[in-house]
Amino acid sequence: MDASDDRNLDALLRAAAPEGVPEGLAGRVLATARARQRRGRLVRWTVATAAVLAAGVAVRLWLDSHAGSLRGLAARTEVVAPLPRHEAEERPASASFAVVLPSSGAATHSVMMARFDGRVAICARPKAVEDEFGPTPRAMVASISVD
Amino acid sequence: MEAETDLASLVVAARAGSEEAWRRLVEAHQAPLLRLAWALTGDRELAADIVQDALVEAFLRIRQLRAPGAFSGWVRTILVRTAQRRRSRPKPSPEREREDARTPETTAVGAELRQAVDRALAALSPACREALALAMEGSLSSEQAAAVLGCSPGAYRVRLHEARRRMRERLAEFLKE
Repeated sequence: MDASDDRNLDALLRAAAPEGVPEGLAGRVLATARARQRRGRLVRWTVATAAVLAAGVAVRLWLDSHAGSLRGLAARTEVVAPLPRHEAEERPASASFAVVLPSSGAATHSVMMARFDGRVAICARPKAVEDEFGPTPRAMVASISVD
Repeated sequence: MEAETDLASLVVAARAGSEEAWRRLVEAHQAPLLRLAWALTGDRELAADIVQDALVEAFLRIRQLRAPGAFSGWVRTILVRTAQRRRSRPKPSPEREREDARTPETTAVGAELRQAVDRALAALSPACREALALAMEGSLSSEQAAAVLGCSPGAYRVRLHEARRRMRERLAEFLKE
């Protein structure tokens, strides 16, 4: 057994190897790869949106559960420069979607989500105050990039 | 040297998003990749699927390739990994194998040789088949092939020697001619 045996074997294997290549392989590769890229982007966007929604729900639950104590705290401390109500009610002109999360009971705020310019914003808008002599609840806003 | 430069410039263009550059890369590599996939599996149908999967993965990961000139070795490594993953999947049913045996290619001249080589390759252990496939490819040194397979150069040479011995035994009647 020597190098010529190896060469003979390699030549035999090459003779038996597939000759033609599948037609349109490059096109199929591109189409499959693009489809996978789209699917990946959709999954990432869905995860980011779910995270923002979860954060919004958590904020609303926190506001609901702390409504009483916040009012008590606000009654004992001075409220520093609450946002004027008309500013909190402004909606970005380029918002692609906006949703107001339902609230009930003693919630002091209604929570609204909106997406604009590649960011998702969560706004906590004060509800109408029943006790007009009490402190005015503060509006809050936070945003997160979804790019 | 010029071919390497062309390849590197194609890879750079493909990384920048040029579909035309990607098509040319695929066309330049599909035939050797198909032969390598066949040698890795001993199955012509499966080899075509593996080549497509490997090229899709290469397309999606091409930004991770730091040296554009290393594209050929890099895509072969992806192909070997893809074939290794495919090995753990269920094999096709006997019905499909019988259908494959009736394809026009198998009735042409040389069909007997092709079938004998396919059977001999399929009978090898995966480690021996991988070593033989990379040796047939001819573009990698022992050290490079060993690195692709994740073993030492010595182990690669032992596997290759064993693979060739078994193939010679199984294909003795064709080698005499």
